[in-house]
Amino acid sequence: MKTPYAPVKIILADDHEIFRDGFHSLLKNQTGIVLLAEAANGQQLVTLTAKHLPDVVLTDIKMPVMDGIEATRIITEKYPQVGIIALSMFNDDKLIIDMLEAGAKGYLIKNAHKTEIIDAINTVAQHNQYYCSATGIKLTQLIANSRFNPNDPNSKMIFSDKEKEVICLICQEFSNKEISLALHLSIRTIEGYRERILQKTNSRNTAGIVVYAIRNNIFIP
Amino acid sequence: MDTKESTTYHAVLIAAAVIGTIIFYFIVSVIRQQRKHRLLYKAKIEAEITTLEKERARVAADLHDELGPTLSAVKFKLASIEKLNGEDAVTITKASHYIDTILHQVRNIANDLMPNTLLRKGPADAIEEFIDHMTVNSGLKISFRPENMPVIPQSHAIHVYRIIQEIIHNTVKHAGATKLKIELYAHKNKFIIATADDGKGFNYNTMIKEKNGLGLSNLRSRTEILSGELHVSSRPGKGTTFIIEIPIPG
Repeated sequence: MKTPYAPVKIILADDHEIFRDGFHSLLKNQTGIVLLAEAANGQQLVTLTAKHLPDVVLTDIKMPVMDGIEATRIITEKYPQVGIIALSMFNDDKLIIDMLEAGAKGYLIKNAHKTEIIDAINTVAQHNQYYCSATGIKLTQLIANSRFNPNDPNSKMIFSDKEKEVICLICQEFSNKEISLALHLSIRTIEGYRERILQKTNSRNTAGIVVYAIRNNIFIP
Repeated sequence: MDTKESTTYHAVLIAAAVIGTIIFYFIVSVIRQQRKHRLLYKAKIEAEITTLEKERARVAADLHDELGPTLSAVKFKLASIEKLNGEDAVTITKASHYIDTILHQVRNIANDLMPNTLLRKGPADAIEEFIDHMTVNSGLKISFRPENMPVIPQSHAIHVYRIIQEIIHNTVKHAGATKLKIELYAHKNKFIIATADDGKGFNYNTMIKEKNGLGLSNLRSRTEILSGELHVSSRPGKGTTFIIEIPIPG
């Protein structure tokens, strides 16, 4: 586990130079994250990972020479301590599943917001999984039913009946306001519930809650 | 029979044989010509559709793989601008949202042209994805069972996908149906696509003659390319059933 104050060392892999340049600009003044190297394909990524041993690798999925899926498989096997985040152009659901099954700890869509990218990097650096906030309901179901099954230390959590009710409504894409109306509780209370559920499920966002809920049979889609 | 009669008889016999041979040869060559014409026609359609699909795939790949990352890079560049005053910050945020909108549109256009999933994961997954998309946008309840689906060669995959896409489009646009059932399975040495809806049905012959039967003629062309057979059963008020039988290439 990383010490809280050491910067997170990352490597980026993408075959588009312009994308790498944009990504570099985005993080250039970001404290706490250091971009060590950039790779243009999976093979370069594997070599650079061996050389630098970063905390986190962010990699495109479709690349020439060697794709992100194969690179993820190799890195996961050789350097299991390296957290891998898949970068997907859009929600290419099936490709994301391939990446997670190959060993990626999380994924982001390429046009994700800066704060989300930073959040994802820090989450994966702490060896937790990260699901992009733009995750659709279909993808959460695919993830929950996939072979991707990270060790979740909190999987034996106990939820109150009310918490389970809130979880089920979250899974049905209810907003806090809609949940408060459905359960006759104040929005404040619901926000409190949501916060507690995020903590208990060790999730960063709704997508994490939904995957957890489906996987633990709290919600059956 | 005297000699003269015998000669006439032989002459008639020879003439009949010659005429018979000519007629036979004529019929055979007409049949051959027709067969050749059909093969040429099929090859022509196949070439046209293959070119079309190739072009679609190329444009989709360019949109998805080239334009997408570049737009993301622009967004990152905007997000990297620091020390903005309030008004500039709002402008930057708006510009970022516009880029997201463009990306979303690019994704939809690329996916309409050629679904990424079809190339990477094959027709069953691509059809599932298309069904999810259509269910959300149309409200039609589509049940799809690909469980016993045989492995479809890459050359056939695109046509199978387009056939099902066309049937779903037709059902949404014209059938006024609430439910559509789609099955894909292997039967003997054939691959069967079977669909049934609970819509208002139509008259097949009228539809095929009219210009708006374009969807149907597309179905026929695709089926023909796959050397398959298309059976449509539809009666006004009774829903529509499509059965397409495609030989599995050995």
